[in-house]
Amino acid sequence: MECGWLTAEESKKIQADVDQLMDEERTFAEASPMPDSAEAGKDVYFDNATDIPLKYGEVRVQNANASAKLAESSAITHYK
Amino acid sequence: MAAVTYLEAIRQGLWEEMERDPRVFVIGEDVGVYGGAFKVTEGFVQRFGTERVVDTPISEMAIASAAYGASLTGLRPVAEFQFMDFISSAHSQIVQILAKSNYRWGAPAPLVLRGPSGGGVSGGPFHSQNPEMFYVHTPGLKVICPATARDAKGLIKSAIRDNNPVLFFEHKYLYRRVKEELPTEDYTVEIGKARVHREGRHVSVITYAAMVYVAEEAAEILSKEGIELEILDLRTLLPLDNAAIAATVEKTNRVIVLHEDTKTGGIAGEIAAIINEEAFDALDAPIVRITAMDSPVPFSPPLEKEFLPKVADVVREARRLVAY
Repeated sequence: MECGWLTAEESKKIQADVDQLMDEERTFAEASPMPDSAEAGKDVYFDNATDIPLKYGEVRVQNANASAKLAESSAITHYK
Repeated sequence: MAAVTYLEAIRQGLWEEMERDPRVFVIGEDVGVYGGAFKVTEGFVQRFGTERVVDTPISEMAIASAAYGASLTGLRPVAEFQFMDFISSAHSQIVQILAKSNYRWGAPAPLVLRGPSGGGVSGGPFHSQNPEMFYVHTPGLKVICPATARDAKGLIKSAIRDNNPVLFFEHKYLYRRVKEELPTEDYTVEIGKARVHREGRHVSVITYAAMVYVAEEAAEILSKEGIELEILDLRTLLPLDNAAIAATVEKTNRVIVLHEDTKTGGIAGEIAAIINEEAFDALDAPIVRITAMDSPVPFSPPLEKEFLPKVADVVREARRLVAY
């Protein structure tokens, strides 16, 4: 706030929003039943049949060269 | 069709997946301009550019963390560790965050952490280790250790397409030593499925990675005596193919578990327990473990040779089991 990046009103609103969210989540959790014990051990892995969408739209790449082909790698001098 | 090395097979798999799916990118130390410490990504930056072939500072923790962050946005990073020995520097991020991301937050992390492991090249105690068991003990991860070029390519593709964090241990001794012809069409190898590398009926050798070839040499020697080894290549250590383990025990009734990792806490103990639970009645002899010594990997060639499991160990123990 000393730098002018945040006003006192904005700071208060952020704190109020967080408090409200926490209250809502706590109320929801307390009103919900305890989980079924049969659910223990589930969701260790995510299902491979489900597509994971991109969060920020399509991938856009600069400086790629589609005409470049895979050549055999050069030999290395260590750990042959 | 030309035979392809284990290393070239991994290169092909990575390249083809990057061609197929723009969400896939590689990240790691010297993977760009230099092409990777072992040249797995040589030429990639010229094709895919610096946005998909990302050089990083020397920090495995930063590499794993950046890969994880990218995976949360739906990208499919393939992070290279120059040597898997140094995966320990990213241990906390891998076991605390990556492995539990879906379970704890419902946030799948489709990423691959890959790199060379294993000894036999006089790399010394910091460049020869087999650190896979730290991660086999961590639910939420998948752990792959291919032995052949065909499996290396098929499994790296499966790892990239998997929706979970996959650790891909490449055996550096095999990089340019094993070769085979590969299918020309796109193919994958299923994660979690073992493969019978050699059929036999007297003793099963359950193994993976470079030790498959130690078992193979032993099998050649023993076949001249009428002893037929069956070699089961696990290919994936997590999840383990319990059914394939039980099936080979039920076939031969005698088992050697062979691995290059050290003995205490190695996967041989886990496999012995699985056999105890699922195929105990099929056993005609005690289960034998042949592993590296419980010691850091020695640098000196004669010491490392003594440290690693040998063909003679497998031959001796197989004879003993047959006579039991």
